[in-house]
Amino acid sequence: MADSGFARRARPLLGTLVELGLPASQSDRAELAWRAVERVQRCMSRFDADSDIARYNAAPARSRIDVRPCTARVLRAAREMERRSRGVFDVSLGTGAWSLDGLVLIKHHDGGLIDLGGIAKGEAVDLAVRALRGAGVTAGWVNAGGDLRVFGDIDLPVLLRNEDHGGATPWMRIGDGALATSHYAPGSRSQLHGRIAQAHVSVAAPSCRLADALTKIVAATGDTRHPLLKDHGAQAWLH
Amino acid sequence: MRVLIGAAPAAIGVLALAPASAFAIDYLSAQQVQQLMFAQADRFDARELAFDAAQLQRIEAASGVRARSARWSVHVARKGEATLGYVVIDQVIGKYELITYAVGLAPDGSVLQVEVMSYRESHGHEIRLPAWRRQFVGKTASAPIKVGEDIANISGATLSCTHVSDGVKRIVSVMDFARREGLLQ
Repeated sequence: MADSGFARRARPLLGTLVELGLPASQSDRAELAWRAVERVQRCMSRFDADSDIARYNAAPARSRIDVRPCTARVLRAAREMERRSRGVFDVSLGTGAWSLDGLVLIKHHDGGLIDLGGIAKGEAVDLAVRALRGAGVTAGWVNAGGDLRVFGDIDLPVLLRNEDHGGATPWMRIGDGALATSHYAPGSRSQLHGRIAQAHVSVAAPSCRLADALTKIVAATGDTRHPLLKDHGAQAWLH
Repeated sequence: MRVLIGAAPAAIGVLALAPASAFAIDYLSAQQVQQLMFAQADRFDARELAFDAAQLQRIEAASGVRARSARWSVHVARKGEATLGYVVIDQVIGKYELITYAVGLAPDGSVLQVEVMSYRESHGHEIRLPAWRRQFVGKTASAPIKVGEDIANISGATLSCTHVSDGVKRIVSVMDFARREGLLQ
């Protein structure tokens, strides 16, 4: 907006509202960020029948599915997080083993499903930010329904939504980093398998993909001082 | 990474006690969204579509989507005598939010672009009240409703955009019907 010098745009993508902010004088570059987000949606959305993930989910056991490089990159990151969290982080949600051989995704069991959900959203945000920076955008942010990344010389105020009554409360400011928030409650989109009945879990981390993945680990363990947070230079809150 | 906490995270009570305020962002005015979607257009002609009950039934039967409203406002993007496409603006209501969005359609009725024009988050249940919704009618990006700092972002449960997606489908079917019936000439 004119007051702050930032132009804001929002589109319905990734099953949520994706917002971006960039200096008004550079707003013509917003299209690059949208293209990056749409590419991730095409590759990794469960709901897009042609995506790599939807093709995996529909395939029988022992299928070998060719995946695009961006999908392979997120799958490798997911596998790494699974290993380091000793299986707490699991994009198959226990439905069956998978493996990745270069750009080939192998399904080991019938009924095996993958949902990259949050980390794909985080990846989309990171790639959108990379596209903007690559085009010379000096500062801004991308927020995919609570997966937020801020870059450049700006500290972005973040408000926390009240899930019971609507409205929002000032909470924090973040600059040059990412913040992912998930809400866990009966009936909410994100479901907890661990110890917390109802809470917001937020993680600040250097990248959005990492921040989103780490919210799952904090949610499942209830541990805001989980060693993986420190390893990745991240901080967590339950609130 | 720079993190500055306003309300201490340990003080859950503080968060619960702090008053939640309404939150509103204006992204684009009607004029801005038209120009963004059809930069080549030299003018936008307004068309009011009014459907009778029988037409609404036919739209519903053809698309499986309820047309919801009998009146639709369409802006036709033109360059000289050529029709470049259409812009339709609509509003949908979610759990606590009211979203105004615009759909840009090609002359053949396919969707070119969807842009959110404004996002309003209420506190409490006033979102269901017509008076609350009316106060935003006619607001544009040049007259933003300022709530707190105007670059603030919102975090929390992932907002579902199903109602926007359903709205886009509805607009596609309404426009398809209007085109077939020659109402956009």
